[in-house]
Amino acid sequence: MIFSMKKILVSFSLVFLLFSCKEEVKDKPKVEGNKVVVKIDFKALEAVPNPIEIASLMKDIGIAYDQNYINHVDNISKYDTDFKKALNLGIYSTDLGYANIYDQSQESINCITAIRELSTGLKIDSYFDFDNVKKAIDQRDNPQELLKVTLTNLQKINEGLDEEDRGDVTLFIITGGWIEALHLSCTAAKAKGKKELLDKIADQKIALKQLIDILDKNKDKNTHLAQLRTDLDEIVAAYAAVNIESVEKNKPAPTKQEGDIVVIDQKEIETKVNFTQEDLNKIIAAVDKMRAKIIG
Amino acid sequence: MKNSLKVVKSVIMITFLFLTFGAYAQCDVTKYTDKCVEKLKPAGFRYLKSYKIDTQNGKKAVVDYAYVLSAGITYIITLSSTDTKGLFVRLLDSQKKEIVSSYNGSQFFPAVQIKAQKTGIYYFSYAFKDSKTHCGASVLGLKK
Repeated sequence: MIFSMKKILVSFSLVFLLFSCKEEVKDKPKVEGNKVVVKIDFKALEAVPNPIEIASLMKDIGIAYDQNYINHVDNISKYDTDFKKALNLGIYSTDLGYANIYDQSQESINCITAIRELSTGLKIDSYFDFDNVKKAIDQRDNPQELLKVTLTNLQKINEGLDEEDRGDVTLFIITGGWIEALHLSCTAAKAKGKKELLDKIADQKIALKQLIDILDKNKDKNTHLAQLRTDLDEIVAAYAAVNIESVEKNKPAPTKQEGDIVVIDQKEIETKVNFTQEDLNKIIAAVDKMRAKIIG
Repeated sequence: MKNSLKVVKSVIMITFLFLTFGAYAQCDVTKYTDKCVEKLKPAGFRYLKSYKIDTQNGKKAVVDYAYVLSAGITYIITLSSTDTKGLFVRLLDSQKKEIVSSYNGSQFFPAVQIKAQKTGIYYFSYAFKDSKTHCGASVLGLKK
């Protein structure tokens, strides 16, 4: 009888343990070594504008795709530290979004290859469903699906890193992605200085401030965070004279209903952007320098 | 003997509670996210970001996210959960002042659209009202 009781007890304990551990076994890759836990305010990081916005705008205002703008997949072999891998994972993620938006299948596959290799190196490949992404690439008539699948997967990487307390890696990926988006827009602006694109580059001052605020709070946690913060100083200086001013009238913008969507147009706000050619040149020089350091 | 029975009963109870509440607390938003994405294309929007709305079985009154919206861009926030009613979003400006809500006091709308004229941080505050559902999804889309 006692033996039976023991068996029951052990069985229930095993069932309990099995259910308790299933999430960890399936989703969380183990981090090797004695790495320092870096917990970063993930909500603040999530608020940083998605680099895809810049690629989307470039396409919408008629700027042609240029494969010379993106990082070459052959450069991967140069990235031998986690710091470089994470920054360049961000770079290739933005390039993937850029290629996706312009329906460049081959370039998208190249970027996915690079992302796969780098994420394996960083032990975060389990968060990225590569088979699903490849399936989406095959559905050429549905570019929205590819965009959704790739962006959702990249979001999962960041969420996974947050759960693993590897916030520094998330911050490197997001900063790399942001630098690449700025590089794409600056390179395009050099060739075709469309107002919408110039405004978007000026707007990045706000995203830059977000990144700087997060880095300032965390730069003492490891040397790479400190280095990244220092590296951004030149871009901060280049943006110093850029001024964005919004004037809000007291009357709030009215809402209206279009089908089952509530619509609002903030017409009551007037925004003035003070952004000169000299500012643009400074930003281009600073971004080129930092990107060259990352991808080189 | 009595002690052994007590232990077994406790283990059974703990396992039962864990499985019951553990399973109930799961919030898989995949199908809701897909529904949100479906609403983007007819209105000409591109997918930008998705958000999980999980109030953890009602423990959280609201689920908040933040994002920088850019001037000159039109954004849409689509919503989906088991109930067509109940889930709503309030869009707040950087001062946390409400700009628009998908619930007008009597009607729930599945999407809100905003043409931003000021670049800055905006807050998306999600909640359920008069609903037994605690799980849903939202997608942010954009067009020029």
